[in-house]
Amino acid sequence: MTAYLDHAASSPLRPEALEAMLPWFSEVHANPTASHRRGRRARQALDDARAVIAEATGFERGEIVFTGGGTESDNMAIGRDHSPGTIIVGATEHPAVLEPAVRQHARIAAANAHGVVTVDAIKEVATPETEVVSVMAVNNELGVIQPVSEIAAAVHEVAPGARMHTDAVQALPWLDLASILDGVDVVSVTGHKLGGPQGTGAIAMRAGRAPRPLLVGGGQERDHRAGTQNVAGIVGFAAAVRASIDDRDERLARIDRLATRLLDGLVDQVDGVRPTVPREMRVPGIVHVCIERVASEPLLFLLDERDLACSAASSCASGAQGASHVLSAMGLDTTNVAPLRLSLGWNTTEAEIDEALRIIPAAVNTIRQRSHG
Amino acid sequence: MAERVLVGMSGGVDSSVAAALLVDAGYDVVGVTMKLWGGESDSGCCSVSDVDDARWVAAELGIEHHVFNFGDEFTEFVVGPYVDTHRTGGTPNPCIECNRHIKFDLFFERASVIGFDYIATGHYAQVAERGDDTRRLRRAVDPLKDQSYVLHMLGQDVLSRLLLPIGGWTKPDLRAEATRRKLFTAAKPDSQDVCFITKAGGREEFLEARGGLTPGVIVDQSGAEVGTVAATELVTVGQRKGLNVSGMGEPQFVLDVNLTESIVTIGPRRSLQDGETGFSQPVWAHEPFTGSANVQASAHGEARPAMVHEDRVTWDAPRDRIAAGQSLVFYDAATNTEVVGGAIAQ
Repeated sequence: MTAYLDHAASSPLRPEALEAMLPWFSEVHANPTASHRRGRRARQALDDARAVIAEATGFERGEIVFTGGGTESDNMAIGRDHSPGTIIVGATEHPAVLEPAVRQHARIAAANAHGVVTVDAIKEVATPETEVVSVMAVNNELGVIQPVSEIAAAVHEVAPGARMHTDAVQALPWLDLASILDGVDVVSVTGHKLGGPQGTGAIAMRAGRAPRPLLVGGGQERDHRAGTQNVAGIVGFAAAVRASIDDRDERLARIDRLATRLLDGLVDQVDGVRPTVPREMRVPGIVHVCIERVASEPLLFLLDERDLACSAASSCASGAQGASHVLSAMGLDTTNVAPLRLSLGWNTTEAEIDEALRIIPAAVNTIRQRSHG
Repeated sequence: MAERVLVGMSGGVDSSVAAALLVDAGYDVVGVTMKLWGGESDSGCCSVSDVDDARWVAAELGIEHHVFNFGDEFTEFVVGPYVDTHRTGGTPNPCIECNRHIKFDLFFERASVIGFDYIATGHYAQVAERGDDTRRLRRAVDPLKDQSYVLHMLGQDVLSRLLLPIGGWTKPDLRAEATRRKLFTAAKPDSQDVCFITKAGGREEFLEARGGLTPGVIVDQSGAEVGTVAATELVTVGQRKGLNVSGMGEPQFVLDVNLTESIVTIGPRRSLQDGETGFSQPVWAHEPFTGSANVQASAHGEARPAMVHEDRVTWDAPRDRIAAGQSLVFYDAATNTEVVGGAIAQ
């Protein structure tokens, strides 16, 4: 028995996505820029996929550009060659936003004790010279929902020409983006957090607010992103998004129930477990807890040994667990506290929750006993 | 069920072979790379590419591989004291502090917490069992690679649960073994020097960035100024080169480094000779020891006969002064092979 509670890192492929992709690995094959009928068919598949992403994000089909994933979309949205102080990013952003911004001496908008970047925090650092503002819709570690639409309004009031970007990578599986992204100019999404293939993503951008392309030479994606498109991947991405829209209400209710049972069970069975953000402030599928009197790395080791997949904070390129910049932005002291992110997804089962509720309390107890033994 | 061993894998050839030998011996082996330093480095034990190397070797051996992040502790227990010791005119040995606080304390403790019977590393040294159920750290078979000096602080708790699979190997044999096994790291060069100091920047740049460097004056034994030095922190007792003092007749050596007043005192070789060396923070393999021993004052220096007292050693024959901060390691008098204990020279 195993339990996979790391959907926020990457969710398994949905069968709908696999089925949609398979022909593009076998009988159908062509470069979508080719003029022959096979090429035209591939191009049509891209356009169909584009329509799905447009519907999911609340943008026009012509405003959707396919990329190689969330990081590429985020990097592109931040852009390059900005003067110091003209980019504003939230303190809890994903590194794909933070790093390109910090390299250009961005201003950082503070997060509050719940990990939320508020409108006031943005107003404190925004100026008429602001060129780019980036605040994510749902934080990848905590699952906390941020007021991006209100922030967009505030930004455009202070700096009408500024580009408001939202990384909606973690929001896409859970929220109706069209209803929460009012005023947002540029949006990043990816496929693999909701059952699409890894290496697929898109950037949605309002006309006139488009960032400069990162890749040039070939003219694909209307000159916004050069390079032959990953047709099979994009088809799978769109199929996963389609399925995710279609089953959203049922899925959210089911996952909310599972997540609640998981959280209640942990609080009940383990001393010193507390939810990091209140339920009403987060998406249903991301359960973040802090567990006192246990260190994070040994806990993850024991959970992995029992084949429970989850995560602590961000993982760095070496595979080591890094300290969470999100928790430190919240002002949380994590000395001898293990942060644990348990993220559920489209195929999470009751049995997996049972398994997690069996494994986690046992592992915490083992570590506490051995640490003081 | 097989006994479980957590083996530290730096991504170098020594720990690669160590892991391979443990697998051969039938242990249930898991490899771990400790991420220690997040800053610049030439290679050492900290970069992503070294972690990849360790991971690839682990895959070749069919064992699991994990990364433990001891970055904060490395900064606290190794890098910080390294800078502090330089600031007080001493000569630090960061590899020893890393072994003392990280590899054979935190890593050892971590192994217990996650349920391992032993830890293992690719150090050149051996653990010898005694009849009385105690153990001693013993020099490696290869005298050129022997690392017992930098492991001298290990006590019975660690020695009883430590495996050093390559202590009986010579380096050429070990490389040949790695090649025979077609290990990915077989031809990888040995790591050199301090892992968090780059060749390009050196100690100068590192210390400069962490509080600056202090210019000082060079005086002779009478106190007369004979020169200047750009960075007093980088001068070591016993140093001869790089002082830029000429016309002094005989060769001049650093006798004392006084960081409080930024004064470096130099003199002829004979003034550098000491009959005894004080020490602090002694550690013991088993029980506190006084008496005859062979005492080694650098990683590959010669161990010299001396008497170990409570807080100092008296040398059988006078020897060049030992810089404060260096470790003194006491080997048994009879064979000069077993570590009895060690301390830090004052």
